[in-house]
Amino acid sequence: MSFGNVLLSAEPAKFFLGPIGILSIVMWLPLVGGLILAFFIDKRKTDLIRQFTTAWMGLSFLVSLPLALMWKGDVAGLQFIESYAWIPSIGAKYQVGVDGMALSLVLLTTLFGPIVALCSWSYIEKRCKEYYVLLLVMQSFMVAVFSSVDLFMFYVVFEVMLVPMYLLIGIWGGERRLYAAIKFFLFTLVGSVMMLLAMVQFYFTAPGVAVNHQKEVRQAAQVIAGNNAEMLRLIEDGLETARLAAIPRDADVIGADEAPLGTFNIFSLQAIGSARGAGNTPLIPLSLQLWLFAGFAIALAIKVPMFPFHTWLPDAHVEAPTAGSAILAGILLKIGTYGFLRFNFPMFPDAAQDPRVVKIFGTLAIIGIIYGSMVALAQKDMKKVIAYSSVAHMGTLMLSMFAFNPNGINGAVLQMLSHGVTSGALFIMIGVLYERRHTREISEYGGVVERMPAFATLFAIATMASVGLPLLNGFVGEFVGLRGVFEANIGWAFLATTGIILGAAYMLWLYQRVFLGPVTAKNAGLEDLKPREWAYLLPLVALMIILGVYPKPLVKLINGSTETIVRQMRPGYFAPAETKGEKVAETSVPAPGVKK
Amino acid sequence: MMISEMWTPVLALLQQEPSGSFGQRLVQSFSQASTTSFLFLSAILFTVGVYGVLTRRNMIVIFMSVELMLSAANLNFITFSRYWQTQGNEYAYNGQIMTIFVIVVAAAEAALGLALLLTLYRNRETVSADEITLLKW
Amino acid sequence: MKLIALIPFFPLIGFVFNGVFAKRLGLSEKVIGGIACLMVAASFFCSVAAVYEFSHYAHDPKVIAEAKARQAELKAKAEGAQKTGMKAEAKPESHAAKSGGHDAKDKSAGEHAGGHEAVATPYTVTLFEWIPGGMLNYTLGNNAGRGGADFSVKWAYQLDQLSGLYIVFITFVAFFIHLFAIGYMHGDKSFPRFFAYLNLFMFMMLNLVLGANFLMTFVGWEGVGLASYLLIGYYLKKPEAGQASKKAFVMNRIGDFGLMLAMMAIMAVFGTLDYSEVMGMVQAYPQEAFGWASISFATGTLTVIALLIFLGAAGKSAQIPLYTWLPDAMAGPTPVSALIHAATMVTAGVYLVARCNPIFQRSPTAMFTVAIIGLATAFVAATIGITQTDIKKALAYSTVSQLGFMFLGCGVGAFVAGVFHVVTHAFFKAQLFLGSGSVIHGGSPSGHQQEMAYYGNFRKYMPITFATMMLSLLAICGIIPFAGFFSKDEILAKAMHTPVFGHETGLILYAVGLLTAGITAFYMTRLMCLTFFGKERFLEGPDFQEGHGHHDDDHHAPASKDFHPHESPLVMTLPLMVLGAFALLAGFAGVSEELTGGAFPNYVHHWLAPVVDSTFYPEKTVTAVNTTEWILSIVSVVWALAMMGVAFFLYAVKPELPGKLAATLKPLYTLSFRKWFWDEILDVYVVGALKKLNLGAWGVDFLVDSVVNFFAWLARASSVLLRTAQTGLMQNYVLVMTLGVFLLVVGMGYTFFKEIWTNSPAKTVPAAPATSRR
Repeated sequence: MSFGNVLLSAEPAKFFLGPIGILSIVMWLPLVGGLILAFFIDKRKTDLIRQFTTAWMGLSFLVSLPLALMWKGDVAGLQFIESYAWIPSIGAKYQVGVDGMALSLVLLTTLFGPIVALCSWSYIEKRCKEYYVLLLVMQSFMVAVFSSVDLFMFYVVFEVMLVPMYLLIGIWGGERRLYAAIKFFLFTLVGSVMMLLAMVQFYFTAPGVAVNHQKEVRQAAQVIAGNNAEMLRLIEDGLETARLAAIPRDADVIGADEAPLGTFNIFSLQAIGSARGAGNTPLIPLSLQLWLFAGFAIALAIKVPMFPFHTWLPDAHVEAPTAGSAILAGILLKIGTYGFLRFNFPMFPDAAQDPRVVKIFGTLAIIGIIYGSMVALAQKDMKKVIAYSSVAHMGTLMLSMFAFNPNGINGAVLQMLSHGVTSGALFIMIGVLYERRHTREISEYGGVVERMPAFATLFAIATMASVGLPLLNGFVGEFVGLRGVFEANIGWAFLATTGIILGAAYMLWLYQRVFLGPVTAKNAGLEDLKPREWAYLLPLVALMIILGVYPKPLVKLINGSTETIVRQMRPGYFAPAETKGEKVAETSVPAPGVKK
Repeated sequence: MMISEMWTPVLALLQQEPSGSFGQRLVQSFSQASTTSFLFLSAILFTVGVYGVLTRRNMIVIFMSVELMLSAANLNFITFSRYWQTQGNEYAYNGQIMTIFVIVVAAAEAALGLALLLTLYRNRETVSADEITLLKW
Repeated sequence: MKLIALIPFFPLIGFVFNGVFAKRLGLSEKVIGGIACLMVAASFFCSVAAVYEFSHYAHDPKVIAEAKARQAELKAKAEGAQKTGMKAEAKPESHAAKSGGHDAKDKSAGEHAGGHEAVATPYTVTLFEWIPGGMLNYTLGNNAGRGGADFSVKWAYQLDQLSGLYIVFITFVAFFIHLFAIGYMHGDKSFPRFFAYLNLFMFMMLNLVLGANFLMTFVGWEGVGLASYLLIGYYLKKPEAGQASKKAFVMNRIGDFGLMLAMMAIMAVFGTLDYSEVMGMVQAYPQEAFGWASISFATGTLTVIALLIFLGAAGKSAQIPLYTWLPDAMAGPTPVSALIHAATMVTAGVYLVARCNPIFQRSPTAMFTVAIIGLATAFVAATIGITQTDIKKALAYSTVSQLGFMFLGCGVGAFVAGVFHVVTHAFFKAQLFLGSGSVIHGGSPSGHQQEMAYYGNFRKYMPITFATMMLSLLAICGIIPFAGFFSKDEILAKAMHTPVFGHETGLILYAVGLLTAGITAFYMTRLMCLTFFGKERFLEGPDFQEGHGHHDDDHHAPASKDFHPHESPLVMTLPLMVLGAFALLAGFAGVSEELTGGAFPNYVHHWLAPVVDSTFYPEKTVTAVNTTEWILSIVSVVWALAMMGVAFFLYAVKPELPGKLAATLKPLYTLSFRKWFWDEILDVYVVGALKKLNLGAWGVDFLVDSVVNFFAWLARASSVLLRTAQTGLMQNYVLVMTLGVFLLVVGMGYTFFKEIWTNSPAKTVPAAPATSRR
């Protein structure tokens, strides 16, 4: 690990208005809007509410753009860091910052804001004000999830976010909305309780490691921070807190009696978790790592959702209002996969690469791909088709991640974004049809293209993006990710690639049944897109094409995060070809499934 | 602390040579009584109160029993206040303050509780604790 | 030569313009069609210019020297780390496993370093980096275990002899098909959409052939699939069109599955997808063993890659077992069938195999598979073609059959012959399709009649169509000197003398190929006879019946009986004539030198030689006329003429005979008519099984939900039990509370007294209350 000291030190981008950084503004602006809406706008003025929310979301999006514009491409790790004390006694802090991966997800979230607000204009008829307040609140929490650097803060936001979503489904949902809402809530809650347990255990384990293996941990911290001086300070700060926490309270050390119980800084914890002792042994014993991994993994796998935990998803999607489905598919599912890359992989690298774990997750992911596609073929409800296709896509995504190489993880992050855009768009488009016909039964439709040619074109593009046609966004992530899988395990790659056949089958089947064929009498009166609908569909479709034709900026953005993760997990991977001895090669070459 | 000691004030009243009025003798005997006797009396009062709360059906009686328990607590406070006074503790008055505080609260509580009872009676035509079981699944 | 970067984008402009603006601006059909044609024409002229320039570039000694140096460098890079010990073991093995009689091969493998004259000199234009994907490790091949490669795919175009040939004939044929379509699609409601799709197709097709790396080709590959999907389903209201388009796309996807995996494997072996680098590096690999054993990454990396590529090619080029989509694809408009499903897109598979010939040549297993699949497809499709009654379907099966011939050519090592057949086939098959389009257009009042049962004696009404189609007929039947003769005959001749397999295998391949060629001549003549000769049957068509089941809402009344088939306008017949002329002439570009003894140069062969790897199967220079070749040619021409005669006799002279013949040969007839039952097998066993599996799979959800619901039930059940404790009687609560307090007091008291009893009494004195907190 020689790269730690050869890199020059650099300061990340930052922008402050007084004490408040731009990231905080992006994060809490929607919440402020929600409060304004809640307290200052009469609930009977529904048009004003709609316009206000949309404008406010648009404003939040515009405010988030400087994040991308001010981004320093040559600085690794977190940028726009802010750090304030929050709960000193336990060491929880208000710490925010985004790395490339998080930034891309934050931008996706802020982009979705105005779109979901706009697509609900005519869909939501009852309790308009409450709905939009919840949308705004939700928006804040989603941004916060991706940008919190403090595990405690992450957990709080992760949990709190359930409430608005629960209400969105439970109040504005379809026929079986309560069932779906409660199912969604309980599934996620069960998972997050597991995560809480693991989190607390890790929180209490970490200080001991930090104090006993200072050198190794510092080295790991340098790997994480790369050339980012401020991030290194942040991590060191967290590590210092952890060290103090490990010292007995009455010891004669300055600050020991007032020190918190430990640190919640995600990256400090990553440094502790990924630090290797002599002989490449993990500092945290594998058995404990496995438990901690399991705790986080269950929570996140439910959120993703991975194969056996996916059953909440179709129900939630079908019952949720259009905007709810779009947010769910576009953003919420990504939190699970983001969490894997943020917590599970770097914090417990040995557990993640344990052959048993890899085998379990690989198998589940592949089952998810094939099973999700198969079940999607048997659905009668349009939203369910897309919901099960999400299960399949998420299977590919998880499999790509568990390749543990830059291609796989880059591909996974690209898939996160492209699946967010595509399936979000598909749900919104189904909403467009639903607003006209008030049904989502596939058999009710047919020949829609005759009446709505423009809409059919946009839907076709989204379909093709979902199928993974080159030059559209879906393909890039899929191919890069599957190539990573191929490097890790050829058998997996073969099985996972069958997904592209099945994916084409169910999406085209859906398209054919809904759009092609003779026009039925029921569909004769359909109107094509209105300007408002153009306004929110066009950006999504444009994004699909842009990300498909020129994904390079995006890949450059996320590649840094990806390489850091791989460095943390497989220190030998980036060694130059010549110096790469047999020993290192042995850890990086064979498939994770058969390693060791 | 012998159990017999609690009878001391009573015995003193009976056994002493009569000097002064009965009232004077009463005060005298109480002032001589040991702390333990007062605590014992308080315990009896409290137990009577608990018994009343548990066994009586009439809410008013239950209410009175609660008052009895409060009195027992007050007696405890006063007793310890006196005890600490003899020990020379400068904060001994705390107990008396507490007693007065409890009396005030008890008065308020009595007013509120009786008012509740009245309303209850108006609505349900009964003050029997057995018949008021709304607090149930 | 930088022009090549522009070539694909002309049609893209046409696509965007026609797709987005044409309808809104209310342009006339002529303008729309004109723009579409203009864009293709622009591409054509750019292609010609670029190829002309390239022909000089390729002969520049400096360029050749550079290319050679680069090849050596790439080869060295691919020799790998000091792991050659393992490879060295594999080498003799692979030779030992080969069937006998190939000693010459070993020699050539040894001397190839000294080198063949022709070296590929691809000219590449990189526009931008398309997909960067981070670092990667080599996991297969010589470099396995090394790191340091970079996943980086560029948006780049490459011009070499192969892509140059392709772009020229593609844009040329496409231009005339576009022109034809202006007439054919006249009056169609969504005229601009049609031309937008056609231009989209052209964009993708040019990407396919010009792409400088596998992924760029894959872009075009999937893109033409998309265009094909859109154009097959062009008649949106026709349910079978939607069905067919979906089928085409999904079946192609099965092929793409193979191609995608092949690309991943190529990346794992070579660390790049660029053709020039991969084809250079592959030189470092020996030929792999023949047999089942090499179908594994451990023993035969290149074999697996080649087979996966061929799976992709089989999907796109409609080979067994993925051929059923092509006949169904005839649901699209006829120009589409001509352009996509005959001349260009379906030959992309052959293009890819030819492009990857260095990989294929290193795997006799894959070559054998290609040859056998190609031949089997050619034979099966030809037999099905005999009994088809729909003119377009008959042509479709003929296309499948001809594609099989092309693969046979590639499989026996005659990549040049395969590609040459692609070119000639593009001319005569496009002509045949357009001719059939002309027939369909003018043969019935609705302009949609495709059943040959309602044709007959059209030569009277459509003389130009008839005459030009006759040229193509002679070409496809392989009559000297028409184009098909030279290309098909070369394939058959090469099959017989194949250097890849033993002589006996070659003889069998030749015999079956010859038989198939005869069948081809038979059913193509049958098609012509049914259409242009015999009794006039067009008045029996459903258009003249009351309440016929046509889909178009406009034509419900029976057409009047004084209808006469008519010749198509010039905009349609001109392409017929031009393509017909090329069906006659194109063959002279590739006259086998064995026939002429080198007197007349084989242009195609010389042009393509640099892209064909000659390491294992070096070309012999021909100096004298080969009499065997002449005998073979005469045999095949006579055989084809005989079969044509039989067909003419059966269908034009004695039209009642075929029915009787079919009755006598019932089993064979059924086999052919039902298309060897392959569609049914797919439907029942694959699609049916999948459907059942889907429903079964859904049960898993039920199971998972049941587990979850069980816990919900558990919570509810326990609450039913526990809530009985909540009596509502205040005194109960108080009692419980009192008991609790009592227990607490007793417990505390117990511990308290225990301490008193066990410790000295001094400790029991209570401390003074804390008074110090101030």
